[in-house]
Amino acid sequence: MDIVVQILLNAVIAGAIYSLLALGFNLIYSTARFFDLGYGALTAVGGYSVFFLYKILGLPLIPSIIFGMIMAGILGWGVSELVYRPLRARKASNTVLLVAALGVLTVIQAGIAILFTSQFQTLSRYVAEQQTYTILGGVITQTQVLILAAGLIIMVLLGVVLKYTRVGKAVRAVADDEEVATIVGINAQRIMGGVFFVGSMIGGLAGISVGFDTGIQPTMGLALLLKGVIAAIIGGIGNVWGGVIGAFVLALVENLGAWQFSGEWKDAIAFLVLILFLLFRPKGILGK
Amino acid sequence: MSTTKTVGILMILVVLVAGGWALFGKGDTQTGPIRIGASLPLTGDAASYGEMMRGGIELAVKEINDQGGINGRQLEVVYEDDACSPTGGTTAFTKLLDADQVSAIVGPVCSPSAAPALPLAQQHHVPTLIIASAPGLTDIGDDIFRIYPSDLLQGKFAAEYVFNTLGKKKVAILYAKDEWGTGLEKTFSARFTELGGTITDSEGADVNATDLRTPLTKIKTSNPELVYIPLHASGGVAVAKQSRQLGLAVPLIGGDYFDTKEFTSVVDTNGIFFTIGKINNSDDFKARVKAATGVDAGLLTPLGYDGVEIIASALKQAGTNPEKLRQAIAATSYTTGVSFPNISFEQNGDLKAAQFEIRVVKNGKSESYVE
Repeated sequence: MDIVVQILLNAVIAGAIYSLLALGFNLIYSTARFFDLGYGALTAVGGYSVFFLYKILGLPLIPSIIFGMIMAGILGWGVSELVYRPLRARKASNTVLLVAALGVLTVIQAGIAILFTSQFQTLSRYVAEQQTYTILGGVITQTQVLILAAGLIIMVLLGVVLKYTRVGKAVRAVADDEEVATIVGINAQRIMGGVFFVGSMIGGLAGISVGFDTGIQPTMGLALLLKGVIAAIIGGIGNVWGGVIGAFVLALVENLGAWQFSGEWKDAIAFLVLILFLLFRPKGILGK
Repeated sequence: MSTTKTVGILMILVVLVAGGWALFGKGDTQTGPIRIGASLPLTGDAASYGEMMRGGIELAVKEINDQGGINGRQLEVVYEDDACSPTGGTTAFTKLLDADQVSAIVGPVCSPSAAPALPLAQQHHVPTLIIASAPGLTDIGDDIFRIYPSDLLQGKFAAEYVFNTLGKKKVAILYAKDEWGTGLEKTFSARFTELGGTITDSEGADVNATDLRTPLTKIKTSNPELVYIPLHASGGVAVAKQSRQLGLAVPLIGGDYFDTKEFTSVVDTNGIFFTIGKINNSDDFKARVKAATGVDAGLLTPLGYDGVEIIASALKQAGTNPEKLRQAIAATSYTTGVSFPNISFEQNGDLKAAQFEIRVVKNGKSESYVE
């Protein structure tokens, strides 16, 4: 095994999950314009929905995953309608929304812990059953290839929809200026709801991916959210392609750091990169 | 009369009443029940440890009181939830020491709770029997005793087992970066190199990290014959999966965090070894616990029982005077216990004779491993 190849592949595997996180976060952030911490908990909602359907009830894999994503989407939409919408109507500041989102994160995590306990759970089947591919001496599993493909497909879909379709233009209009968009006849509330639904579905898929790759815990969300945010900021916040590029850059830097120094430096390196970007290139690699 | 004066008089009254209560209250405890404290995780992730301990404590208290108590006085246990956290530990100990004025304490089970709480017990000179395994906890003072083997011994035992019994001379380590993991890493590598073995690579990992591919990739290129993995359950599961994916096909051996369902119930962990303190838990004892308290005895239940028994026999000899009680506990040689065949303490308060065993994950459960 060539160590460099394997380290690069490890970065690609981690980057695939970060890119899903960044895609969902970017979509919500660029439209709603506040730091939605609750998004983190929706990753766990996706993961635990699949855990319940696929592992406890024994339903087939694909419907379980689709339903898990929908569950995360519905919950994300519901939170936006029940919590964020009244606050926005009241012209609450972003700080208030941030605190409300922190509350959402905590409540969802606690709810999952009550329903499923705080234990670490896995989603995948026996690892030996899994198809693995060898690329230039490095190993990657089928699950990981699928996660990577899902991330790239969602990236292209989002990019195209946002750029070329009527709905996409409406989303961008709301993102630019909610009031003006409302004046020209766009139903901003519905657009906002839709954005939360789709963004949360992507977040849910990220959680499901983590569950299949390693495992899930009720408190998994915050750490994942932060990685998604760092990826989004590196790439250029609000930029669909930038988020994905940022995700792979982050994963690469983390894994090279873990290789050259030691594993425990991974998070420190990730946040150091974040600080460097915030200081010297706040608009990210691609800007907006 | 001005408000200032009223407040002043009220304050004096409060001080007098409280002072009187403290004086006479103290006198009362000489004939009333003797209180001991139990600082255990009763909520949160580690709540099961607290519940296991509680079964043993309750059985011991019941048996002691049924036989007439301690020199005619009943034994009473005050339970406090330390939630396995540092703040929980200090809150629990503050309440037990100041409000309940206990004569001795059993627990904590968790090292994070114990580290900030034990200095309080030492300040009050209240003998405390801990289960928490982080080395150094017993050095906090002479009132701290440990009835579970310290991590120093566990790391040493693992090193000797790997080198002597398994005959592996080149070992890599992937450990959790917390007090427990670093403690095991340090003692393992010290003993292993002393025996003549080589540590090919040693990598730390954040306690919550589950993507351990890059550390494992590095470990794989260092060509070890075995990997020592003192990690928590989630990290252990991640290593089980990812080492196999990366083709790292050498034996894995971890520590006592692996003896939980969340680790053993995952198919990928099948065949992984771990070291753990060997606590006897006879069927007879389990039946007694079940009959008296209605709960099923778990791994730590015998320790709860023995902890109370040791305190009770010291109280019988020495009474509640803290210094005499401490001396009596330090001189303990307890051979009728249900956890270890002999509990007696080193100068620093650690167990003199600790026994460990190797367990292996098999079919979703852990079982004792004999070559």
